[in-house]
Amino acid sequence: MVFNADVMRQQAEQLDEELEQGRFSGQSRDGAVTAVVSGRGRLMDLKITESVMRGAHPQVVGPAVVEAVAAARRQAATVAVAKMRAVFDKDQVWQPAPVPPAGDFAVSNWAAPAAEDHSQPGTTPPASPSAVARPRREEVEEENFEELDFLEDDGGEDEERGRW
Amino acid sequence: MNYQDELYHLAREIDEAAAAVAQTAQTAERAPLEWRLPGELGTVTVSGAGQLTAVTLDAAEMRQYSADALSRTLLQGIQDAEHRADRRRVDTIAAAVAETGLA
Repeated sequence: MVFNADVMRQQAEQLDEELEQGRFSGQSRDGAVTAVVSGRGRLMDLKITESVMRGAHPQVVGPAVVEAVAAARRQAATVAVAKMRAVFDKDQVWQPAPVPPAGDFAVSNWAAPAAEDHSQPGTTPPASPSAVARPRREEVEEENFEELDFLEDDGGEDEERGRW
Repeated sequence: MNYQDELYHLAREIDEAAAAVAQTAQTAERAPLEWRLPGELGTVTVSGAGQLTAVTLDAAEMRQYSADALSRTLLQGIQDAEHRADRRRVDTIAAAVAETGLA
């Protein structure tokens, strides 16, 4: 495989834009607070239910907000990491996701189904909704010695000598 | 001093400067930032890296807010706090880089 820095940079920029457009939501354990973040983890929206405000201990909203934001960011990170691997891991091929339809951002997001898939017990999450895994390297390729740098410093020996 | 020694000392200086910047970055990320919400509503605390860690609210003050109004106020407060912490971290690292001469 040929390493193409320009293609990778372009894909990384596209991915960055895609993640910024994506929306992921998370709820507190009691369901009192819902947070929405972008694919890059930026907090975009926060909803607090009226019932918790009128409860005996409304100050519980504080910790619930932290829980909801953390849950939404975990969802976002799960998908973002998989998509980044697809770009930077050369055993996979990344393609941009289709443009999501316009509408309510919290509901019509491209990544939510993938994020939900990850939570199902006993299932292995896909690397990315848009990532296509190639056959395993050892099945189709032998090691290409042109890619190896025999002069590359591995750090260990030289440190013991004290200097290079 | 021969060329190899000169190069060796230069590399050591760069290593030391990079370590100093990394140390500064770690210190900045560990320093939390507390952001006061309007009035006496409470505070938002974020880590030095700009991640939300705590929201403390005053129950009596909350009674003056509807759920929607509180949602908007907290959203703005958290966004401001995280942005400020992130800005502070970036500025701190930039200052450390400038100080060490790595820039």
